Formats: sequence, structure tokens, C-alpha cells
Amino acid sequence: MHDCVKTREKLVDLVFDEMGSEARRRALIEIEGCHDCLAQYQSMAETLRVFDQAVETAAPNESYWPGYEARLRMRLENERPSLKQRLAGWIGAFGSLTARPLPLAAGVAMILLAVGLWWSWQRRQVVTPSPIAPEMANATPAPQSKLESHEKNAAVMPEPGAKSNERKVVRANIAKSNGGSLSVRREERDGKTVAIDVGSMGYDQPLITASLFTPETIKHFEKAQLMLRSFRNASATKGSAEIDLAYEKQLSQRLLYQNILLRRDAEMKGNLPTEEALGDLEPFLLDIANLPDKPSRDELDGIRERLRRKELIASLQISSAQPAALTYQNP
Amino acid sequence: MDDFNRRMTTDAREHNLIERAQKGDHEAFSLLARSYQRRIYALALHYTRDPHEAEDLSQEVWLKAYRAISSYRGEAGFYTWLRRIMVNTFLNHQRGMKTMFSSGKMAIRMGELVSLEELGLASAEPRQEPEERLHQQMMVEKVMEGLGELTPQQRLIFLLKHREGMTYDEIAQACAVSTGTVKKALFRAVNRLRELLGVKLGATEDVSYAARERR
Repeated sequence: MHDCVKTREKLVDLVFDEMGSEARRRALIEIEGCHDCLAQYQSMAETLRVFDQAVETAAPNESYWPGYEARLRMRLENERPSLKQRLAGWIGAFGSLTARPLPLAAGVAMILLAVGLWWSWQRRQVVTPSPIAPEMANATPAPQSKLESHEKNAAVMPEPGAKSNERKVVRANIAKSNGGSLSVRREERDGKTVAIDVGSMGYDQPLITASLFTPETIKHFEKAQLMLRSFRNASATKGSAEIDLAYEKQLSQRLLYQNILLRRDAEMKGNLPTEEALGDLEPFLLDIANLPDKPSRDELDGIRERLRRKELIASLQISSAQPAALTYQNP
Repeated sequence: MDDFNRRMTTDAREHNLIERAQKGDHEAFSLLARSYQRRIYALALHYTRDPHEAEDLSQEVWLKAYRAISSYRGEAGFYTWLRRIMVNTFLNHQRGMKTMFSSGKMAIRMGELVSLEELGLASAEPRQEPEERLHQQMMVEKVMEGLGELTPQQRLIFLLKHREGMTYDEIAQACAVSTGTVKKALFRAVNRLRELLGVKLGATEDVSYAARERR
């Protein structure tokens, strides 16, 4: 029994050649038996033929290509080879060395061996313990807890010029006697400067902010999240079969514009996480903003299904719940 | 046999160019690009419908390929690898696309009609009759208009299927969508083009199975 609806679902597979030969043969025989389905199939095939014809006509002139190639070459020349490419070049050069006659390769191997031996001999000289080593070992203080170490390292230093009770923090590096550097934080407390060794306390690391999103981005995520929730939950009003999404569309357009600006800003600052988060959001904003005035159920379901699969609302909620970073600094 | 030899020579030449390009030889890369640049440009042109944007976009694909060529291991064909870069570049372009707002409805810049002259494209056959040329120009304009009415994703899906011959699964994977979405996009694309190109239902040559069998 021929079913036009079911047959038409197969038309796309048929015109785009996505069927096996047997399935194709059966589908064509079935289509031939229905005038409407055959007309539909023929018009689809004809559309693709006309499209191809138009596309062939729209090919650029031959004279266009030398200029195109020249411009591409120029852009490639401005492009610095990547580290991998440079490494590959060096390895290639080394490979050509080994292709030379045997004496040259043997000579290089001898030199490498000699350098290796000399280096290991030098290392042994350094490692050999000196006669005073045991005394040094006894003089070395036993390990202390961090808290103890902190208290001991805090040394009160008189600062005659200081009067204010305000807390000032100055960072300074004091060269150690062995050539290393010790990180010291000086705090002014009650008119006296206190020097605290923070190098050994493990918290003199560059401050990593808790969030990579700026307050503006977080606010944007909140708005987008609310709009997407509203879009997801929208249903037809009583007495009408259509879903009114005018508000969501309008809001989506505004958010899309803001999203593009924020994404470009993040891109310029090299803030990859923000750029990615905004990039994930953008297609949804674009799709909602571009919805027709009377969207079909299929169109809405398609976007909602994608929203659900991507778990975008949940990830926006997580992102907007993070504490804001005032500025993003590329670590 | 001749065909086989020619293909082997072409493959060897391509392999050699890839190796040189991987060592940072941009001249070799330019020669490599020459083999596929028309194909990439044509797709970019139908995708963006603007010759300047198409040139920028297609060259961006080449620059990305150049930066990434050291990661090419030859597991897939070079064009398959390049196409992956192309799809990603097109999708990213879709996100950063210039948009404008008009009377509450978002219009894409490429939504304007473009003439052949604007496109910098001339007829492939210079000795055509003016009427025929005009007709072809109108067809191109309608095709471009039809493509412009699709969403960028639908447009890309249609081009990847119809021009690149990718399978539903390959497209779904490349565009991170379901195969159902791919089929829907294709159905919508063909129907919209049919409306705009004025193809009437059934008005075509005999494409029936029996006719094909006869041929």
C-alpha cells in the first residue's frame, strides 16, 4: 500500500543518493506508481540540476586566479612557521647529515661521545663531597613547620620615617648569599616595618583569580539564561495554537549583539574560556533571533532539543554563579 | 593503466609537497593550495555570497591549514583533512558574521541580491547571446537569493552534501548535529531553491526508474 507521506520522506535520500542500489530501485518503482510523488521527485531533481548549471556559470574568470594566488602567497610569507615546522626543518637537516659518507658520521659520533664523557666527568667532580661537608650537614637546621617558619622569618625592622598606621605592602627581592633570591614582603604595622619571608611559605604565587568571566559577561550569561528558560518553557496561549515568542526574539537580538561584542573582546584579550562559552551561546541566540513570526513546532523543537543536548542553560547557570574577576589577565 | 600511473604521480607529488610544507616551505604549500583552491573558493562563495568575503574566508582556510600542516599524519586523504579545517572555519565565520538589525528581524548582510558583475564573475562562455547571458545572470541571482534565505548552517549542510558529496553521517559529525537535522536542512534547502528558481512540480525530463533502465 503506497503511503505518500512515508514515500516523500525518502525523496531527500533519493535525490542526494543516500540509498543502496536495491532500496533505490524499490523507491523509484514506488514513486513511479504515484503521480504526486513522482512530480515531487522530478522537481527536486530538476532544482538540483538548475542549481548546478547556475553554479557552473558563476565560476570566476581565469584571470582572477593569478591575483588570488599572489595574495595567498603574500599572506603565507607573513605567516611565521610554527615551532613544529621549525623542528621538522632542523630534524630534516640532521637527517641530511647522516646521509653523508661514513667517516663524517663517525666523526660526529666521536665528538658527541667525547662531549658526553667530559660532561659526566665534570659532574662527578662537583658531586664528590668536600672535607667540610659533615660539619655543614650538622649546622643545617632541622625542618620546621610552616607556621613556625613564618613566625621566625618575621623580623621587626625600625623605620624612622613611617608614621601612618595604614597597611602598606611592598615586595622586594633580597639576594641570598648563594646567588638565589628570597622573596620578602614588608608590611608596615603601627609605624614599624615588618619584613616577612614569603618565599618559603608557598603563597607568593601570582594571584590566580577565581573566575575568568568579567562582571559584564556574568550579567550577560544571567540574561541569556533567563531568556533561554523562557524560550524553553514557552507554550501556546489559551485559545490560540501559536506560540508567542516576540519577546524572546527581540531579547535574543539584543543579546546576540552584546554576545558578539563580548566574544570579540575576549578574543582580543586571549581569554579562551570566555570566548568558548560565548561562542557556544551565539548559535542559539542567532537561531532564536532569526525565527519567523510564526515558527513551526518543528523549528522550536529543533532548537529546544539542541539546547537540551548541550545542557547550555545549566552551564550558563554555573558560569553566572561564579565570582566575577575584575579584569582578565592571561596567565 | 595510464590513469593509474598519472594518479600515482599526482599522489607522489602531493606527498612531496606536503613534506616540504611541513618543514615550513610556503612555496610548496602554495603549490599544494593550487590544486584545491578553486573548489574551496567556490564553496566559500556560495556560502558567503560575497566575492570579497569568499576570498578572505577561503584564504583563512589555507592559513589555518598551513599552521596545522605539521599535525597532518596522512591517515586520511589531504583533502579530507583540509575539508575538516574548512568546515570549522566556515562554522566559526558563521558565529562572527556581520549582522544587522532591521525592523525587528535580523537580516544577514549577504541577504542582498548580488549581480554577476558585483561578484566579479563573468560568463564562462563570452560568445553567448545577450538574452541567454541575462537569463543565466538571473538564475545565479536567484540561486544566491535562495541560499541567502537558508540559515548559515543549512546552507553549509546543503553545500557539503550537494557539492562535496559528503554522507549524512560525515556532515552530522562535521557540523555537530544529528542526521535528522541534516535531512531536514536538505529538504528545506531544495524546497526553497525550487520555489525561487520557479521549478514547477513534475516539469522536467523523464527521470523515472524505467527511463533510467532504458538508458
